[in-house]
Amino acid sequence: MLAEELNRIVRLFDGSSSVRSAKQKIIITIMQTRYIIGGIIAVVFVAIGFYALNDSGIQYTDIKTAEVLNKKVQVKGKWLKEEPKSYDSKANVFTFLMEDDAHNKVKVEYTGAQPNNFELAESVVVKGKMENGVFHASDILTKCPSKYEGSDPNLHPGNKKSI
Amino acid sequence: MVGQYIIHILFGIAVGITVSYFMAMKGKTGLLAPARILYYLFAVGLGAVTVLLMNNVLTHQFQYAYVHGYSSKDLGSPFIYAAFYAGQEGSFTLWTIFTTVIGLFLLPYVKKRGYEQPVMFFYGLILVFLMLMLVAKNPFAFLWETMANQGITQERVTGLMNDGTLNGKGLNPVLQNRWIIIHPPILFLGFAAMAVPFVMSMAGLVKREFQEWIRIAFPWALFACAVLGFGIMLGGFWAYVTLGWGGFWAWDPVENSSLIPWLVCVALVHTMYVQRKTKGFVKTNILLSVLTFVAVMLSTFLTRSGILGETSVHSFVEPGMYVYNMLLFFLIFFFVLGVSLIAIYYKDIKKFNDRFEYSSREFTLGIGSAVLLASAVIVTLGTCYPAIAELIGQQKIAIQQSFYNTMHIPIMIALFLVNVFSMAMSWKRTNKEQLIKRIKWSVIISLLSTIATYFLGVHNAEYLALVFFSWMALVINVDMAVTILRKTPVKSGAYISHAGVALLMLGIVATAGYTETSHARLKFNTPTNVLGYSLTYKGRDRVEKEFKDREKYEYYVEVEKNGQKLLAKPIWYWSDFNQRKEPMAEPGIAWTPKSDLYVSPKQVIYEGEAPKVKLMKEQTSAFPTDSTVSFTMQRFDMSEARNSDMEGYLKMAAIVTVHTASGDVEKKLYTYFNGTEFLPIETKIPNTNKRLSLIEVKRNQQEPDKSTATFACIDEAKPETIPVEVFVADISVKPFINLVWIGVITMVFGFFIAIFKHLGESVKKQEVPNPDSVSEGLITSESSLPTPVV
Repeated sequence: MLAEELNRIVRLFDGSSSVRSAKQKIIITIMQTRYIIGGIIAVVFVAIGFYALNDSGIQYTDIKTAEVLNKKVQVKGKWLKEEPKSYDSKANVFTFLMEDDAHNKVKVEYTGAQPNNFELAESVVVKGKMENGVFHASDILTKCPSKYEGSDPNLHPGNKKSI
Repeated sequence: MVGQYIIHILFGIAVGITVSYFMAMKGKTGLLAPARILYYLFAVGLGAVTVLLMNNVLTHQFQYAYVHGYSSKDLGSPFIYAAFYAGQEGSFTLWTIFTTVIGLFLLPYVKKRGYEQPVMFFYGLILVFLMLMLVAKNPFAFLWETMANQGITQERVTGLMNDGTLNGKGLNPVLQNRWIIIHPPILFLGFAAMAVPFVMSMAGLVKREFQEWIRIAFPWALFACAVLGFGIMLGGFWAYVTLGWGGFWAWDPVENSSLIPWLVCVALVHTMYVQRKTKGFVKTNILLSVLTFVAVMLSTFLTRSGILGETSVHSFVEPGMYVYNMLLFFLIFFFVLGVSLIAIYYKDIKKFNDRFEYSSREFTLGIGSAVLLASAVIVTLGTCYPAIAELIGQQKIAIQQSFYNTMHIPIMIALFLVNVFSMAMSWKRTNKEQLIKRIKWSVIISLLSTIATYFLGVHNAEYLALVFFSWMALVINVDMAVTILRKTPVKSGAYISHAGVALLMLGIVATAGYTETSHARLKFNTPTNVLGYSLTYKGRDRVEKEFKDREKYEYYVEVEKNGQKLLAKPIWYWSDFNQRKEPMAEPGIAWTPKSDLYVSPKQVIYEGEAPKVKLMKEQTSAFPTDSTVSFTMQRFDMSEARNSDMEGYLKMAAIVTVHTASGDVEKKLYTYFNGTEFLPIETKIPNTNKRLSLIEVKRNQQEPDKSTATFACIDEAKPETIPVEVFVADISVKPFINLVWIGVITMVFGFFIAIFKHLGESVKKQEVPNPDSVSEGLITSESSLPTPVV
């Protein structure tokens, strides 16, 4: 019943008399609709992906910019080994001084103990926010000289918070 | 030197294998026998490389840069075996070894099925790639070759070797645990296995057999998924139990890059299954086989080229422009090879148009694969984004874990939904009543379970949705697995696997969503309440005393809840590896079926300090905290100095007289000295609440009488004078984390059942059974099937 109806419609459009080819046309139309729907879903998904990506990306910047931005950023630099650093085990805050790649110095307060490989780190990346001249870090990545780590990345853990 | 020659020769042989199989494929069948001989020769040669490299490692041949870089004399068994693949050179070797071994099984397998020439030709191309990498990253280079620019000469290295003074840098102690023996080989076996579906799809194309190759490749694709999946989980388990990241997954680029090929291969397995049953997805399967291998190459490129340098906690040594370019070249090469072969044969495959009913099992399986691919795209996008952003001149950016987590909530919900439907649907077409009948119970049970989960404390809507759909998948798969196990156990693989994934998801929701963490300071022998547990630090023991390169202590933290006592044993140690500049730690875990208590050490400090008194011979001082007690330093006693009961230490003593209200007491206070530090023995003064220890001796060579002794004076009445060890740690309670491990193991187990089943079916040269007669257990088989599409 339905097929007959569709056949008639198809015939109206292109005048084809062959039921078989009309059927195939309908199939093709259905296939195309599928691809279109599938395509739309994919595009929407990718769009959401990019939105989420931009939303969750944290910008690399320097201290000066971080002060102005007033949002979560990450700053790369080195920690100043000659300056005092300390860990307050009661407050669980680790404090040290760092100098970013643009040579701005800043005090960093990190919630947690001194991270792994900190002493040896050639450079550190801190993630967090500037507040009243102090950088409050929620994460510290330490980058060690390759001497201390092998070259197979599958085997060389640093420290990271994971689920 | 020999090793290096063999590697070069092996590269030549790999080219030979490829060329002769190519010629054989083009009709010169006379080259088949030589090609096989070349392959076995290659395997023997690689065996020799393996033996040589292992021998270099085990016999400490530090003149080789690779051995020098990753091993040392102190490295004991079994970790010294891990030095074999601890660096890039070795891990490429390991990858080649697994590829070759797989080839040894693959060759007779495809020979029997008439696929030898094309399969081994494409496989040869992969061997050529691997050997070229080994030529570039050769594990047999000498120190004086790699470090020539630092003025290291052959004479110097040989001299040091002859003295026996040359030692390697050693293996990072953080990695020295049993997991380094297990995890990397399994991961590389999985990587190597991912090549097989690719070469088979290419072979199917050139043979124009678009159905046949699926049956032959299917068990291999399952094998690759099973092994890589298991390898990835072992990595997570390793991170959890010893690396102290606090969890098992951090969306780190290295983790992600092994997940991407796995996801693509799992998608492939599903569409391959559809093709086995319905002959559909012909084009999709070829494309996905290509993408699986390309994902392996992408993963290799991302982790080994140094391109993600700053975004990962894993170290990325810049391997040099040559390796970078070569990895990039082969990534593009295999992609272009696959895509152009598809283009060349497109006229043959374009006729395969799939006409699946929306209500068919094959349609939902297709959707499932698409969702898995979406996950792969998301992970790839997130992993590569920092590199892409830099490339297109955007601001440099790092992707947070939240991106992956947010994106995977809808993905996982969609996956479970599709899984439930595909399990409940029939091939070709399902009618509504049957579908409802089949999923009714799973919906009801899942609803009840989800409500129960709500009352367990899960109130977040996204988590509840995940939990609901996980339960649904779990119920329907367990139901079907049980039904099938009674009839034809060999068909239960898919159900067991999917039940495993559902368990894994429940575990992830519980542990990722509801882990509680608290910072704690555990004073020695003083119970502290943390997260509803009573924790007591009970002391420590030195472990691995036989190793001179480390000072390692196991700390004992007693965990008590509801009268049940468990012991967590975190580890805190100092190692020569970082010149003992800072301590290293391993977490301690108190395991229970319901939840783990995870103790991650942060610091060990002493609180309270005994006042010090410095005295020369025959001087007297009052006890700093109590004027009613005083003591006189009589003299030093060095009579037992050389007779020490502690190796490497002198045993010194000072004789003191303590004056108390009840009279004088003479005491001999001992201290051990190794040239730099004193290890005093605390001595209680009888009839008092005072303790004395000799913490330092300073000798005056000119006037021995002016030598001084320093005493620590502990007064039990004054707690601030008693030094107490405080163990500072982060304490987490990880609910139902065992579901994560159980889930993955169940999933892998299911894969192996499926491999067993489809390996059996790969031999028979039979018609693909009529879908109408295919029955998958009770639920599906009761359906009477279907009317053709449109």
